[in-house]
Amino acid sequence: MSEDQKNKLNDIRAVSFGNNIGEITTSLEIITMLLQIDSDAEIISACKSKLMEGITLLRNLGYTEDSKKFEI
Amino acid sequence: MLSQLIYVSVRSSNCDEIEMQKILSSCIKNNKNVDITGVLLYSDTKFIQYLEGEYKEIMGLYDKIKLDPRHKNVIMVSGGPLATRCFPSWQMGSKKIADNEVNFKTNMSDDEKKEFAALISGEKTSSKAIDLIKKFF
Ligand SMILES: Cc1cc2nc3c(=O)[nH]c(=O)nc-3n(C[C@H](O)[C@H](O)[C@H](O)COP(=O)(O)O)c2cc1C
Repeated sequence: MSEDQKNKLNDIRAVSFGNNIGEITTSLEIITMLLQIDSDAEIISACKSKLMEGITLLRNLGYTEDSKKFEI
Repeated sequence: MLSQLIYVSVRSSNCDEIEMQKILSSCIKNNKNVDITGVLLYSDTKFIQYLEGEYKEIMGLYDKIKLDPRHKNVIMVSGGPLATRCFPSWQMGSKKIADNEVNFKTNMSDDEKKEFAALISGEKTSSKAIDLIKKFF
Protein backbone atom coordinates (compact mmCIF):
# COMPACT_ATOMS: atom_id res chain seq x y z
CA MET A 1 0.00 0.00 0.00
CA SER A 2 1.37 3.44 -0.97
CA GLU A 3 2.04 6.22 1.54
CA ASP A 4 -0.96 8.12 0.16
CA GLN A 5 -3.28 5.15 0.51
CA LYS A 6 -2.05 4.72 4.08
CA ASN A 7 -2.86 8.37 4.83
CA LYS A 8 -6.30 7.89 3.38
CA LEU A 9 -6.90 4.78 5.44
CA ASN A 10 -5.82 6.58 8.62
CA ASP A 11 -8.07 9.54 7.78
CA ILE A 12 -11.05 7.22 7.30
CA ARG A 13 -10.37 5.35 10.53
CA ALA A 14 -10.08 8.68 12.37
CA VAL A 15 -13.56 9.87 11.34
CA SER A 16 -15.50 10.87 14.44
CA PHE A 17 -19.20 11.49 14.00
CA GLY A 18 -19.93 13.65 17.03
CA ASN A 19 -23.57 14.31 17.86
CA ASN A 20 -24.63 16.98 15.37
CA ILE A 21 -27.11 15.31 13.00
CA GLY A 22 -26.05 17.46 10.02
CA GLU A 23 -22.38 16.64 10.50
CA ILE A 24 -23.09 12.92 11.00
CA THR A 25 -25.09 12.80 7.76
CA THR A 26 -22.45 14.73 5.81
CA SER A 27 -19.70 12.43 7.12
CA LEU A 28 -21.74 9.43 5.99
CA GLU A 29 -22.27 10.99 2.55
CA ILE A 30 -18.51 11.43 2.17
CA ILE A 31 -17.77 7.85 3.25
CA THR A 32 -20.39 6.58 0.80
CA MET A 33 -18.70 8.56 -2.01
CA LEU A 34 -15.29 7.14 -1.08
CA LEU A 35 -16.69 3.64 -1.02
CA GLN A 36 -17.98 4.13 -4.55
CA ILE A 37 -14.70 5.32 -6.03
CA ASP A 38 -12.11 3.17 -4.26
CA SER A 39 -11.14 -0.38 -5.14
CA ASP A 40 -8.59 -1.13 -2.42
CA ALA A 41 -9.83 -3.90 -0.12
CA GLU A 42 -8.56 -2.30 3.09
CA ILE A 43 -10.05 1.10 2.24
CA ILE A 44 -13.38 -0.50 1.34
CA SER A 45 -13.45 -2.41 4.57
CA ALA A 46 -12.56 0.73 6.59
CA CYS A 47 -15.35 2.66 4.83
CA LYS A 48 -17.85 -0.13 5.49
CA SER A 49 -17.10 -0.29 9.18
CA LYS A 50 -17.35 3.51 9.49
CA LEU A 51 -20.67 3.38 7.63
CA MET A 52 -21.94 0.79 10.10
CA GLU A 53 -20.77 2.90 13.01
CA GLY A 54 -22.55 5.98 11.64
CA ILE A 55 -25.75 4.12 10.79
CA THR A 56 -25.90 2.61 14.28
CA LEU A 57 -25.34 6.05 15.78
CA LEU A 58 -28.17 7.56 13.70
CA ARG A 59 -30.51 4.78 14.79
CA ASN A 60 -29.55 5.20 18.43
CA LEU A 61 -30.26 8.90 18.16
CA GLY A 62 -33.71 8.09 16.75
CA TYR A 63 -33.01 9.02 13.10
CA THR A 64 -33.97 5.60 11.71
CA GLU A 65 -35.38 7.04 8.46
CA ASP A 66 -32.17 9.00 7.78
CA SER A 67 -30.06 5.93 8.52
CA LYS A 68 -31.83 3.92 5.80
CA LYS A 69 -30.39 5.91 2.91
CA PHE A 70 -26.87 4.86 3.89
CA GLU A 71 -27.56 1.15 4.10
CA ILE A 72 -25.78 -0.89 1.42
CA MET B 1 8.85 16.82 -6.51
CA LEU B 2 5.72 18.44 -7.94
CA SER B 3 2.71 16.71 -6.39
CA GLN B 4 -1.02 16.97 -5.96
CA LEU B 5 -3.38 16.19 -3.12
CA ILE B 6 -7.15 16.12 -2.93
CA TYR B 7 -9.14 15.87 0.26
CA VAL B 8 -12.78 16.11 1.30
CA SER B 9 -14.11 17.30 4.64
CA VAL B 10 -17.24 18.20 6.56
CA ARG B 11 -17.83 21.92 6.89
CA SER B 12 -18.48 22.78 10.55
CA SER B 13 -21.72 24.50 11.43
CA ASN B 14 -19.69 27.40 12.88
CA CYS B 15 -18.00 28.03 9.52
CA ASP B 16 -20.17 30.87 8.23
CA GLU B 17 -19.60 33.14 5.24
CA ILE B 18 -17.36 35.44 7.28
CA GLU B 19 -15.11 32.49 8.15
CA MET B 20 -15.15 31.45 4.49
CA GLN B 21 -13.83 34.85 3.49
CA LYS B 22 -11.08 34.50 6.11
CA ILE B 23 -10.12 31.07 4.75
CA LEU B 24 -9.94 32.41 1.21
CA SER B 25 -7.82 35.37 2.35
CA SER B 26 -5.41 32.96 4.10
CA CYS B 27 -5.16 30.93 0.90
CA ILE B 28 -4.33 33.93 -1.21
CA LYS B 29 -1.89 35.35 1.33
CA ASN B 30 -0.02 32.14 2.21
CA ASN B 31 -0.13 29.89 -0.83
CA LYS B 32 1.80 32.33 -2.96
CA ASN B 33 4.76 32.19 -0.55
CA VAL B 34 5.01 28.40 -0.76
CA ASP B 35 4.10 28.22 -4.44
CA ILE B 36 0.93 26.20 -3.89
CA THR B 37 -1.95 26.48 -6.34
CA GLY B 38 -5.30 24.75 -6.53
CA VAL B 39 -9.04 24.88 -6.11
CA LEU B 40 -11.35 24.94 -3.12
CA LEU B 41 -14.92 23.86 -3.78
CA TYR B 42 -17.45 24.20 -1.02
CA SER B 43 -21.10 23.66 -0.35
CA ASP B 44 -23.10 24.45 2.77
CA THR B 45 -21.91 21.17 4.27
CA LYS B 46 -18.70 20.01 2.58
CA PHE B 47 -15.29 21.04 1.30
CA ILE B 48 -13.21 19.53 -1.43
CA GLN B 49 -9.79 20.96 -2.05
CA TYR B 50 -7.26 20.24 -4.74
CA LEU B 51 -3.70 21.34 -3.91
CA GLU B 52 -0.66 21.27 -6.18
CA GLY B 53 2.94 22.19 -5.40
CA GLU B 54 6.13 20.74 -3.96
CA TYR B 55 5.40 17.55 -1.95
CA LYS B 56 6.90 18.93 1.29
CA GLU B 57 4.93 22.17 1.08
CA ILE B 58 1.67 20.40 0.30
CA MET B 59 2.02 17.96 3.18
CA GLY B 60 2.95 20.82 5.53
CA LEU B 61 -0.15 22.76 4.51
CA TYR B 62 -2.34 19.64 4.67
CA ASP B 63 -1.20 18.97 8.25
CA LYS B 64 -2.11 22.56 9.16
CA ILE B 65 -5.47 22.52 7.39
CA LYS B 66 -6.44 19.24 9.08
CA LEU B 67 -6.28 20.94 12.47
CA ASP B 68 -8.58 23.80 11.44
CA PRO B 69 -11.79 23.68 13.53
CA ARG B 70 -13.84 25.16 10.69
CA HIS B 71 -14.11 21.66 9.28
CA LYS B 72 -13.80 18.06 10.51
CA ASN B 73 -13.29 14.53 9.27
CA VAL B 74 -10.72 15.56 6.70
CA ILE B 75 -10.04 12.61 4.41
CA MET B 76 -7.36 12.44 1.74
CA VAL B 77 -8.85 11.20 -1.50
CA SER B 78 -5.80 11.07 -3.68
CA GLY B 79 -2.23 12.23 -3.78
CA GLY B 80 0.86 11.67 -5.85
CA PRO B 81 3.34 13.09 -8.32
CA LEU B 82 2.19 15.56 -10.91
CA ALA B 83 3.86 16.31 -14.26
CA THR B 84 2.50 19.84 -14.74
CA ARG B 85 0.20 22.06 -12.76
CA CYS B 86 -3.45 22.26 -13.79
CA PHE B 87 -3.95 25.68 -12.22
CA PRO B 88 -0.61 27.50 -12.41
CA SER B 89 -1.97 30.97 -11.73
CA TRP B 90 -4.49 30.16 -9.03
CA GLN B 91 -3.42 30.75 -5.45
CA MET B 92 -6.71 29.05 -4.66
CA GLY B 93 -9.66 29.26 -6.98
CA SER B 94 -12.90 28.86 -5.13
CA LYS B 95 -16.46 28.07 -5.95
CA LYS B 96 -19.58 27.73 -3.86
CA ILE B 97 -21.07 24.61 -5.33
CA ALA B 98 -24.74 25.38 -4.88
CA ASP B 99 -24.38 28.48 -7.02
CA ASN B 100 -25.05 27.75 -10.64
CA GLU B 101 -23.07 30.69 -11.75
CA VAL B 102 -19.34 30.08 -11.55
CA ASN B 103 -17.94 32.88 -9.49
CA PHE B 104 -14.19 32.87 -9.20
CA LYS B 105 -12.44 34.90 -6.63
CA THR B 106 -8.87 34.81 -7.89
CA ASN B 107 -7.06 35.63 -11.10
CA MET B 108 -6.77 32.97 -13.70
CA SER B 109 -6.24 32.68 -17.40
CA ASP B 110 -8.97 31.83 -19.89
CA ASP B 111 -7.37 28.42 -20.38
CA GLU B 112 -7.66 27.70 -16.68
CA LYS B 113 -11.26 28.85 -16.66
CA LYS B 114 -11.95 26.34 -19.41
CA GLU B 115 -10.05 23.63 -17.53
CA PHE B 116 -12.07 24.25 -14.42
CA ALA B 117 -15.37 24.44 -16.28
CA ALA B 118 -14.54 21.09 -17.89
CA LEU B 119 -13.61 19.66 -14.51
CA ILE B 120 -16.82 20.62 -12.80
CA SER B 121 -19.05 19.76 -15.73
CA GLY B 122 -17.63 16.25 -15.80
CA GLU B 123 -15.96 16.41 -19.22
CA LYS B 124 -12.68 15.31 -17.66
CA THR B 125 -13.22 11.85 -16.37
CA SER B 126 -9.67 10.59 -16.39
CA SER B 127 -9.19 10.05 -12.69
CA LYS B 128 -11.16 8.81 -9.73
CA ALA B 129 -10.66 12.12 -8.02
CA ILE B 130 -12.57 13.83 -10.77
CA ASP B 131 -15.34 11.28 -10.37
CA LEU B 132 -15.49 12.29 -6.77
CA ILE B 133 -15.69 15.97 -7.65
CA LYS B 134 -18.62 15.17 -9.92
CA LYS B 135 -20.40 13.26 -7.19
CA PHE B 136 -19.99 16.28 -5.00
CA PHE B 137 -22.54 18.23 -7.07
C1 LIG C 1 -11.30 23.90 4.01
C2 LIG C 1 -10.11 24.75 4.35
C3 LIG C 1 -9.14 25.00 3.39
C4 LIG C 1 -8.04 25.78 3.68
N1 LIG C 1 -7.09 26.00 2.72
C5 LIG C 1 -5.99 26.74 3.02
C6 LIG C 1 -4.99 26.97 2.04
O1 LIG C 1 -5.05 26.51 0.91
N2 LIG C 1 -3.93 27.75 2.40
C7 LIG C 1 -3.80 28.30 3.65
O2 LIG C 1 -2.81 28.97 3.91
N3 LIG C 1 -4.75 28.11 4.57
C8 LIG C 1 -5.85 27.35 4.30
N4 LIG C 1 -6.80 27.16 5.27
C9 LIG C 1 -6.68 27.85 6.55
C10 LIG C 1 -5.67 27.20 7.47
O3 LIG C 1 -6.27 26.12 8.16
C11 LIG C 1 -5.16 28.23 8.52
O4 LIG C 1 -6.25 28.77 9.23
C12 LIG C 1 -4.44 29.38 7.87
O5 LIG C 1 -3.48 28.92 6.96
C13 LIG C 1 -3.76 30.23 8.95
O6 LIG C 1 -2.96 31.17 8.34
P1 LIG C 1 -3.06 32.74 8.66
O7 LIG C 1 -2.87 32.84 10.15
O8 LIG C 1 -1.95 33.34 7.90
O9 LIG C 1 -4.40 33.21 8.20
C14 LIG C 1 -7.91 26.35 4.98
C15 LIG C 1 -8.88 26.07 5.95
C16 LIG C 1 -9.99 25.28 5.65
C17 LIG C 1 -11.01 25.02 6.70
